[in-house]
Amino acid sequence: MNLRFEGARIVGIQLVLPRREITFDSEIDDYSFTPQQSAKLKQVMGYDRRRVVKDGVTSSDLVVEGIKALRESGQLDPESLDALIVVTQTPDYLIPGTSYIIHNKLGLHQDMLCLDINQGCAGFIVGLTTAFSLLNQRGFKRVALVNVDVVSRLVAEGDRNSRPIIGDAAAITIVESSHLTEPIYGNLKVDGARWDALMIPAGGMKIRPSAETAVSVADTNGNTRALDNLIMKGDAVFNFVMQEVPSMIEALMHDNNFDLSSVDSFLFHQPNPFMLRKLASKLGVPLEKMPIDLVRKYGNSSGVTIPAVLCTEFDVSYFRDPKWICMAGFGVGLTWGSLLMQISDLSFVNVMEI
Amino acid sequence: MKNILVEIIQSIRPEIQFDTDQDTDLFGLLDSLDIILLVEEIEKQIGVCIDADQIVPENFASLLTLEAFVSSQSK
Repeated sequence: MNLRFEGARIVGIQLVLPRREITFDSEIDDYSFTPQQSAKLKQVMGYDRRRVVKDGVTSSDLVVEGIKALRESGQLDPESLDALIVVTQTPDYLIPGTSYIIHNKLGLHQDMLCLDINQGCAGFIVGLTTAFSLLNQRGFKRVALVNVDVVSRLVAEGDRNSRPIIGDAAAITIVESSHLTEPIYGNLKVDGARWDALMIPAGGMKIRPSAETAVSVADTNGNTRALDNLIMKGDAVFNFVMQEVPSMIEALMHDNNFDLSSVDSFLFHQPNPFMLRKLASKLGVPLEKMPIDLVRKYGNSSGVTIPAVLCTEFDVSYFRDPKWICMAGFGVGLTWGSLLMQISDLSFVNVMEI
Repeated sequence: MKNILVEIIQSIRPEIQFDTDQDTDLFGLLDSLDIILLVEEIEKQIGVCIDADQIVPENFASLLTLEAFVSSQSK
């Protein structure tokens, strides 16, 4: 579906990274790679360093520290928020939603909406789309969009496909109504038929966690996982991204009469450098306009990667003059979506470590 | 071409055995990581460029289909 929003702008973004860094070299004995394969994977896939939380740290822990820092620096008055949207696949509890935990820990006021969305790698696009939709209502003037995941706690130690790139992070994006902005264009697609391409089988109501679901089983490709762990059908996800993302971006440009060359920066979800290089090549986008190496430095933090790229590659000075930004998210669902919007005059672009 | 491809595949998955007289089914033997490494090596060693939408199972189903695909790219 095609989207168009007016009267909304991003005010600022705060990225929260765990201070704990894990290197691929330190875990290499956990996987069944030959030394030659390991060297190639480091180069091609970006298996190198990733940030992960310590045992026991939850999604709300990252977010609360991030919003507290914004409050203490005077960059955000939490009392001004009309909504808190939390997009995560790793909630603190099944019930209630993590937004309520954050609301409590921060002592936020009662005259607001708390909303939880279960989304992963398309979570920044889905979250912004929801925030922009709320801002079309008169009662909503300022929304905090939170993207957070601590998926490292759910990845099997012997999962050679996923674990070497999985990182944890949170991003707090403040969005508010504005009369001074260009329209925001977007599109969003879902294919529920491929729901099991990315999943954690146990833990919900269908399969309750038990001693049996914790038993690890090896697959034919050298991965060892339990039903309690993240399972990614790598082939299916890879084919999905290569098939759907280029045409999605081409449609976004075509349907809105926008020239790809007029985009200043392409901020895509960061699965790995290889896939991003292929997407850039297919679209004819120069790599100077598309950061591809977030995974190598911080890991793939699901729905946080787009704001993470923005915060680690740019600062407020880049956005002093308006910039056309094309964002794309793709993953669990399967879901794929993109936004084309002008970003300018950001109040803050922060990176903090906890 | 076939020999180069066999060498590349065996550098990634040494356990895969090839019969010189017959096609070798690759479907199910190579996972997505293997395909990525394979594409990188083919591009580097054979000098072809493989587009995003060409990295599909049909092109990597067997040694013969892969050979035909890479040959078509190098023309």
